[in-house]
Amino acid sequence: MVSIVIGPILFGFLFGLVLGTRIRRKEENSFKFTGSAIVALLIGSLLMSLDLGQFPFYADLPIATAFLSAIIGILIGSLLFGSSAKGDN
Amino acid sequence: MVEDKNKVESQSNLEAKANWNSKGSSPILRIMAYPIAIIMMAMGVMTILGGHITPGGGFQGGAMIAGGIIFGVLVYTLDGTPIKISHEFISTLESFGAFVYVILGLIGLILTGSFLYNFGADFYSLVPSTIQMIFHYPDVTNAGIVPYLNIAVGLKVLVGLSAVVIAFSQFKKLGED
Repeated sequence: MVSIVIGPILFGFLFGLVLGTRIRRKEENSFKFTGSAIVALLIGSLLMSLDLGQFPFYADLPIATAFLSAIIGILIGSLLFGSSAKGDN
Repeated sequence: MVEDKNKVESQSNLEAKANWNSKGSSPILRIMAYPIAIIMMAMGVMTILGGHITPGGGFQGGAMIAGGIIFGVLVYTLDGTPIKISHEFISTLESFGAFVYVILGLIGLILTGSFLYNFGADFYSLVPSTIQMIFHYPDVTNAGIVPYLNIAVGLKVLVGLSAVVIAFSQFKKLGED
C-alpha cells in the first residue's frame, strides 16, 4: 500500500488557487481559455508532470504532484474568482 | 521648412517609442504567452515546495512565478495582460509572507529561546509533541517548518519582483500625466 505524500498536493493547490484568483480567462487581445483549451492544458501538464517526475524520497506516484496540483489550483482559482480580478493601472 | 520636417519626424519617433507595443505582439506570442505563463507559475510553485530536498527554494520559485507574470506584461502590455496584479494584492501577499516568517521565528524563540528554531522537526526534543505535530510538514523527510519558510519567502519574492517590473512599465505613463 503506497501512502500518498499530501504536503506538495495540498500546498501546491493552495498556492495555485491564490495565484489563479488574479488570472482572467477571457481577456481581449489574448488567448481565450475555453473548455477545450483547459482540457488541452491539463493533458499537456499531465505529460509534463510525468516527465518531471516526483521529488526525491517521495516514492508515492511517478508524477510531479506539486506541479499538477498547482496547475489545477490555478485553473480552479481562475474559474471561481478570475473574472473579478482587476489591476489598478 | 527643413526644421519643421525634422520636428515632425522627431515627434513621430517619440510617439512610436512611447507606445512601443501599439500594433500588438505577434499572433504566435499572443497565443502562446498565456499558457506558458501559467506553466511557468506552476513550475515556480513546484520549485518552492521542493526547496527542502531539491535545488531551489523560496527565492528561486518566487522569481519563476514573477517571470510568468512579467512575461504576460511584456507580451500583452500592462493594460491587456490577463494576469491582473493589483496594488492591494501585492501589499497583502508581501505582508502575509513577512508575517508568517516572523511569527514562525518568534514561536521558536518563545518555546526554545532560539529564533527560527525548527519546532516542526524538533531534533533536540525541546517543544511539546502537540506543537511539533501541528507544524510538521506532511511529507516523508521530517522537514518541519522549512517548507513553510520557503512558502513565505516565495510569496514575498513573487510580488516584489512583479512590483518592480510593473512600476518600471508605468514610468513613461506617469511622466506623460
